[in-house]
Amino acid sequence: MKLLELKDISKQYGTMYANDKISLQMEKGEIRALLGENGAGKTTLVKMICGLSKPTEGEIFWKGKKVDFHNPSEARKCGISMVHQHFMLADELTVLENITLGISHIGAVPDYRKIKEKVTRLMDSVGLSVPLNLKVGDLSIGFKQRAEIVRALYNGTELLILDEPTAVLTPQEIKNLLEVLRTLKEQGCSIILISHKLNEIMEICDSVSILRDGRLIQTLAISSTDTNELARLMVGREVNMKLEKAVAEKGKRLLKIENLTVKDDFGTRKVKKLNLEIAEGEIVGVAGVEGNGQKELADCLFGVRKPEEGHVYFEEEDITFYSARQRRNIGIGRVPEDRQKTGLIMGFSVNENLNSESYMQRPYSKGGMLNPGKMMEFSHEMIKRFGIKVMDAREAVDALSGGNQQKVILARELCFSPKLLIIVNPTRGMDVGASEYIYQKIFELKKQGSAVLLISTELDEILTLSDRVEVIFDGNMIGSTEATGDQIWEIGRLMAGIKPEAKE
Amino acid sequence: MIAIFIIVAAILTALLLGSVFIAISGENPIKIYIQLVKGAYGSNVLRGITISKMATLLLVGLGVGIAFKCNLVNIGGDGQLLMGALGSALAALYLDNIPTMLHILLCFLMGFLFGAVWGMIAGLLKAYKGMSEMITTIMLNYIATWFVSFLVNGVLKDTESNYPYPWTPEVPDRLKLASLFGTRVNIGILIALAIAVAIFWYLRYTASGYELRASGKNAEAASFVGINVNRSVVKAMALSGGLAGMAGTVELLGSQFRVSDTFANGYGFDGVAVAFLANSNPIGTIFSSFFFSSLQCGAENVARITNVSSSVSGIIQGLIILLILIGTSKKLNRVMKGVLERRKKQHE
Repeated sequence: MKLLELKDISKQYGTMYANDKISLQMEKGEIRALLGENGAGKTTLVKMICGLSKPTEGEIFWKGKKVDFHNPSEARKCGISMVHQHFMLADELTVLENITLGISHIGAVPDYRKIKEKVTRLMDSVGLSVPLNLKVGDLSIGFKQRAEIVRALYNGTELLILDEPTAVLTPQEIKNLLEVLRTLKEQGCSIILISHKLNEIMEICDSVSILRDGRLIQTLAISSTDTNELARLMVGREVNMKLEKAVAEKGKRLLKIENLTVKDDFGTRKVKKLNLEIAEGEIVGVAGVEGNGQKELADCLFGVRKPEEGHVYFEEEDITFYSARQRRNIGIGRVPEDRQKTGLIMGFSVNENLNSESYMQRPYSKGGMLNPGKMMEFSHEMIKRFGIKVMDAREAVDALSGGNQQKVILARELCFSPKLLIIVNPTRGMDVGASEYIYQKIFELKKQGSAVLLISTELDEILTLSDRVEVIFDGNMIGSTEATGDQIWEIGRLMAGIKPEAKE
Repeated sequence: MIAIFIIVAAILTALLLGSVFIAISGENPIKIYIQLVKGAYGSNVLRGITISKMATLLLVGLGVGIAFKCNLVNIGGDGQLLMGALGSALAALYLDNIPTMLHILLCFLMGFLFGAVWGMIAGLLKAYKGMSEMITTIMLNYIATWFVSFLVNGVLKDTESNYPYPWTPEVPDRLKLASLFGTRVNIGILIALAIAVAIFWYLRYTASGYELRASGKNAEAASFVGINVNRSVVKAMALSGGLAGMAGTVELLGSQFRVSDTFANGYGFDGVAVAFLANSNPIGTIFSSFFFSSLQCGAENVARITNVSSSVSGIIQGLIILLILIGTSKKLNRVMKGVLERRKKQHE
């Protein structure tokens, strides 16, 4: 009897299939890796296993019996627990209180001494240690994760699901975690591990299921495969280069990033002594799995996050501490990753958004007074030039489709012909037509002799647009290749953190 | 459009629910509501009181509204109004030999400045220390209240008056706001209306107002396009406090003439309701301040001649805000949408 069996599981969001007829089986005591690029559908799949969402189609069998979880606590009762990427812990409570949270059978007045004994025994048996009396908010990320794991195990878990557990950990913590997972396996616990890190998968897993575009590509035993094959299966598609690359003369050096170190909101170093150069007329694509420092790098270049150390030079001028507006004024255009959170002011009209940078300049304002007539004129011109589909410029920008919202941002940024455009995941969630339009605009900019820094998790996009591909891994540029389709395996290996010299 | 519908529906529902309390008091609700209108506008004196109150509520409401526009909740209207009144009183009582017009202008300026500083403290704490303006403004209310109480019981206490009350001397007669064309309505309302138009214009047609609104709508995106969100926050709180401070000036020179420790009278909290009812729109605030001042003044009059306590006006005021909140809640809108769609499907 299989421990877990999925039969033709599909999950549909709108018209899109996030999971398409996935079938897989797991044995007791098995460690299974789920491997795939961003958006391949890994998290969607495990969410259905642990009761967070319900499949549109298909059946789940647990120990041979068909199950239909309505919420995570039902799954937990059966012995399925998940440790999420973003921890589900209450910061204000102690670790022990968090562990007992949501367990109904402990009664109204829990006997914490008894529970503590039990938890301590449990931790000893698997080699974990977490200070139980500390508030979760005071713990480091590594300890928070351990607290999550202990909580999952306390419920008598037989299947533990971990969503990219090592993405937030230091190398030592990773080593510890893998040790714990091994112990758990010896005790008969099964584990599903979502990861992009091929080395880890090779080290700890028994088998690996590879997902791509919502479909299960293959399930392999680890003993019968190697990292190269996995990297190939993960990216595994012929790169479809429909667009002819724009040709432009490469000019002098425009942007130079030197030893840049940037911390994230939690004080973790996400960009570590990073170096990068871009010349005029060049499109450089920064590829990499999400969470390797792209966001922090972009924010720092946008001027909304101060670096810890290092310098950024633009036209040989030190702009490290320039404000966002100063950067625009010297000719740096910025298209942030999240249209609705950082790109546009939602709730504002299309007109107000199109003018959200130019309003400070003449003729749109003079002496602090806006000129609504000129602003509207400008908006109409932009709507025409960029083909933004909107009935009335006074309409709220929220009402536009994703593609049109992105056009509003592009219009705002391209209208002043920036010398450098920094653009992050420009076509995420957009259809082919809208994407191609944006690619053309980027090529137009290149032909004018401007430089483009493209930070994207879409390999297709990077290969279509870039002249050079730099791969970011763990806050550093791990290697660089030409942007041709036959480099895709090399890029895949770099993305998984396998350095060029380590090639077999 | 939908917003106006919700507001009107909330007012009507609240009046309907209010009539339950009137009925419990043993009176006929319709008669009482008619009496309420009469109580607010039945005579020259009553009109004067109601419109003076409206001027004060309008200014405080504009202030709270401008903070709302920047996504800030200024509950410190009471403290800011009190500080503004204090500033105005200092100018009115201790400056001499200034032409009357200039002197009045100075009183307004001092009112604005004192209120603005009081609001700005909360703005600075919010922008640079991340402290909730809701908490800090409440604390600043306490400090202002007890600081003014300390002064009017001490150095600023009127020693020549026949009454042993803790209040300042009366402001000179020449500084008291003049009445309009033989009515008992003072020119404070004109000043307040002019400021409402000015705020409307500021928010809509100046770069600074644009930045303030952008920071309120989406602080993160605003900072990405280069808007200094912290500056907007400080500016909004300073303006908000300044307007409440000017409300203090109008109240001082138009109605109360002395600063006492009960001077603020809960205007700051009423201002929140006023701004809320107007959806923070400066022009809408004119109507909402008119509505609430009529309601409150009318109710006081009703209480004097009938069994219905004036608390009913407070109940109605609270109900209106609560109903608007319910009406605009996302969850309710989602549920209503769902119900409508299901009906549609059934029809098909």
